[in-house]
Amino acid sequence: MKIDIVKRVAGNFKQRDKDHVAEFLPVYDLINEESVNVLDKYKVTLTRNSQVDVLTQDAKTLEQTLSLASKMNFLDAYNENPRRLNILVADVIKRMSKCDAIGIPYKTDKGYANFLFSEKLFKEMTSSLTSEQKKIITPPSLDESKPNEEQVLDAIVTKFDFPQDVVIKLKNKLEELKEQDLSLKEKLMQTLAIVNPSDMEFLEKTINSTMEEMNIKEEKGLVA
Amino acid sequence: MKFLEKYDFNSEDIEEFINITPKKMMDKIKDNQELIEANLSFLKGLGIKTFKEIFFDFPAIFFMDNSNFQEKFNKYVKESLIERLNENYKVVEYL
Repeated sequence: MKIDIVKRVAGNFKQRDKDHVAEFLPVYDLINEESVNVLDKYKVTLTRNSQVDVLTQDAKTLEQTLSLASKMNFLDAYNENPRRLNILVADVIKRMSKCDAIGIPYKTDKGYANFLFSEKLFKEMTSSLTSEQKKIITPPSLDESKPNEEQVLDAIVTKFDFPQDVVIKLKNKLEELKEQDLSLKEKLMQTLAIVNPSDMEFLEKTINSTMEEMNIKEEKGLVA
Repeated sequence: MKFLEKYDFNSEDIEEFINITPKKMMDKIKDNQELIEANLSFLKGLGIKTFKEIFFDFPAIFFMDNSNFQEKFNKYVKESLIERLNENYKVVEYL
């Protein structure tokens, strides 16, 4: 156990939180020190021991989340509740887009809605929508003429708003991989590694989440 | 995480928990499943209705040694503890 990391993370906690650090030491033991630097960079402040698990994440994943949140102006959401950093940012952005599409507010003077950070709460919220609103936020039917991997890539590219030159590189890479005996996910992982070569866990989660949303199942190798 | 079904977590609850929990924490939970289950059983056995919410939001406390975990709760009068946690489970962080 690195005592310095405990002091660094919990040093500015209120006394009642400092009094309970010992109960949370197993989590402090899992902290990536680089992740502490990332939170410092974006001025996200932890105030409780129960928030410390966000620091067990890979620093690159946290950097991506906070970088995107900063560009899209929702960094405040993570200071409201730092544990929201544990949620895949692609899913958060997807829910924001759906809310924008149907005019559901997700930010009030009390802060950001919790349903942005929970699939369960988001489903509960959308269960009360009109059928017209539900239609707008339901993913479009798959285009049978387009290979699934291209559709998933298109969806991811749209989600993250990649610049056009990057989109072209990604599509070219996917084209190169088309004839190789790789699963859909393997092709997408290798393609998206162009933009994010180091955080494979983040890539995999993003691909899985997008495939699930589009109801696309994993397939192995070339279709007969 | 299938073991959570024994404690009334349904598949949606489990999926939600996986989505909100960092990988290192998930791995630690899997490595300490027996301890986690002992602590979950104890909490559920006390009659605290919000034990699932407590696990969701404060998984870290479930890594406590079982006797220390029990002591954390047993130092309070049972009825008032149950009432307090059922009303606002978040106070568990400061018990």
